[in-house]
Amino acid sequence: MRVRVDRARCRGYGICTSIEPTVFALDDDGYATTDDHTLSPAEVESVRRAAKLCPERAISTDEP
Amino acid sequence: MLTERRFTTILLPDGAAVDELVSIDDRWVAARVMTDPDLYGLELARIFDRVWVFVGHETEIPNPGDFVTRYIGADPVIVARSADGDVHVTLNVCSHRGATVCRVECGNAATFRCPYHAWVYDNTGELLGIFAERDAYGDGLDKGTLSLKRARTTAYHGLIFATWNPDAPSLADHFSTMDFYYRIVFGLTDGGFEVAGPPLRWVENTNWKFAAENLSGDGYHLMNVHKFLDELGLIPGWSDPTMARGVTSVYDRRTGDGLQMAHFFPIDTSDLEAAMVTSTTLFGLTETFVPEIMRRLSADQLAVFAKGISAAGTIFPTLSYTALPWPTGDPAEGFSFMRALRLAQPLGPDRHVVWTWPLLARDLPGEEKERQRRTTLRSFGTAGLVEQDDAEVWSANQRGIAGVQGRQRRFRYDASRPVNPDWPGPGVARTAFPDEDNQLNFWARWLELMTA
Amino acid sequence: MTTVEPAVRRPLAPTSELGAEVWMWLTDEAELLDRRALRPWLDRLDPQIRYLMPARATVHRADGDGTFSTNHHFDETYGSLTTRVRKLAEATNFAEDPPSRTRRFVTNIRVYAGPGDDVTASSYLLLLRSRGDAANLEVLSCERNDLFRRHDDGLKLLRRDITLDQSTLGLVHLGVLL
Repeated sequence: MRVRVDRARCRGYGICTSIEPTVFALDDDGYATTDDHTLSPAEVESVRRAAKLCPERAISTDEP
Repeated sequence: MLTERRFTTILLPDGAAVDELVSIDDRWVAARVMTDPDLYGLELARIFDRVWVFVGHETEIPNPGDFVTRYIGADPVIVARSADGDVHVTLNVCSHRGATVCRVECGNAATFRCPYHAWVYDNTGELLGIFAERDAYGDGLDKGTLSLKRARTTAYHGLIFATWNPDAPSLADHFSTMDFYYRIVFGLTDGGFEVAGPPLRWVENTNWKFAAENLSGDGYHLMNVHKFLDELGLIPGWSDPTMARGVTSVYDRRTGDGLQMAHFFPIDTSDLEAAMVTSTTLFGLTETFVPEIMRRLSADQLAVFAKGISAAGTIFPTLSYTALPWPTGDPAEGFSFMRALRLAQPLGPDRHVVWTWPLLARDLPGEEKERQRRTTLRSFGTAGLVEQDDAEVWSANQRGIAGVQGRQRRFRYDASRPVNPDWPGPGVARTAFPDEDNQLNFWARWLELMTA
Repeated sequence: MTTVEPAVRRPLAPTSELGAEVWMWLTDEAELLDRRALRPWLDRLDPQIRYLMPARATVHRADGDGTFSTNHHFDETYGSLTTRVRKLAEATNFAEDPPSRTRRFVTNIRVYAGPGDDVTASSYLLLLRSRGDAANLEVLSCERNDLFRRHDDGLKLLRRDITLDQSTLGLVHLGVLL
């Protein structure tokens, strides 16, 4: 699974990085970034949760 | 015998002392307790903020993410089931600047986003994220200290109670006396009970305590206020006071709870199994429930239940309940059973909202559940044939005591008979009708909380 | 099945025969209830009538209109409505003796032919109520969705679904009919 953050929608809550700091980080302005790597099985569950909890729906995955 | 307790003197603005408004020894209560705005404010602080308060039923939030919004006194709370299945009760007030975080009455959500500055909480109250946090606060805010205020929460026979008081005893300890009766009313079956929702709500222009103290033990009003039941042939004999001589009133001095159990259709219990079939069906269940009831109840509880009971009471301060055989209201549908939870939510000294939920045994067939639900709401719902008359009588009561003379009048609780030494259950029991000791006990507990 | 779908069905003109008949029916009904002529009101109900007012809760826009079918303020049959009428008319009734003074305003009436030979209608009801010497009027507002069946002596109400406009009712008791 791969994950993307829509920087235009992100509002800097930081929920994603507190759930899964190995996948999400905050840039210097405090808004979310992620590098384009394929997730390990351990990361998949927490990324799904981060996507669900993002109030702006800024996180998307390539899961159907 | 109910006695006075040690108290602190609290003065109202005109110099009246709170402890002068109630005399347990002389069995009266000043009408002012129902009208005074300062007393109402004290109640919010000294009662609702300190005791266990009912906020909902577990079956209203069956799935993770489900929530309802309710009140403890005047404080709005969110009652939610978290992902791990636990129930959480949190103050619905944002830790930022006090906005109402959740503005709907029910739903399903993993998070709540405050409408004002978009602080985001999960349904355990934890502050998950802050809108533009770094721009606003850098790394300076410790979100761990900014959760929504959490109440202690315990479910008890499906009833969810919450308290802000860290020193209140556990709910199990709190109900240690009355659980004998509450197990019969709320915990009788393996499958438990469910509520029909959402709750029916309507406003009444009366003090919340008219309802709470009445349901704790005022059997005396039944045959007069609701005499239409006899007149219309719905319950023949209803207005004959001798019919209710088998009523037992029980109260718990410690908690202020009171209930009345009536053997309206007394059953010969010399053959316990046969008696259990009759009493179980009379209590709105079917014969198939008898084995589990006999397993769940103690010998003493069975001694009470097998005689055939109707029950009504108040769990102090505001949760009342009724469970009794009852007419459907449609002569063609005949007689059925009603069981309801009834909450009096205070809005002020002369206003409250009634919340009513039909309470139904989960393992009954669907058609029977529906019949009991309709039976309950037709008499005890918003347009309830019974409720409407109580509302009117209390409304007139409230108006009459609003003035200077009125509020000095004393409510009297003289009706009292000796304690029943043969009653097999705990608490203080009297088999006598009418009897006003349960209601006096409600006031004893009120006074204790208001002055301690 | 009585839910009106204005996007699909066009209401009859008020001047049509059927439109006028239902308009008169609803207007007469309001007067009967305000005058407490309850037996004539009962005569206008089909013996199979279902009369429902579901409970409502405030929910987010995405969750619908907050009307639930799982609990009701009214869930009545002809028999239970007869009991209500009898309590209003002849039994000891503290809620409605002395009676409320009510005024029912029925507006926004839309009438539809069908299904089959039946007739459906929706209408708004504004009920104002005064009790005792209180200077205020209590207000209840709702929408009724009605199904009528034609009998030899005219249209009779077979089903009424009432959508109350509050989740907490602002009347101190509800002994009157809507």
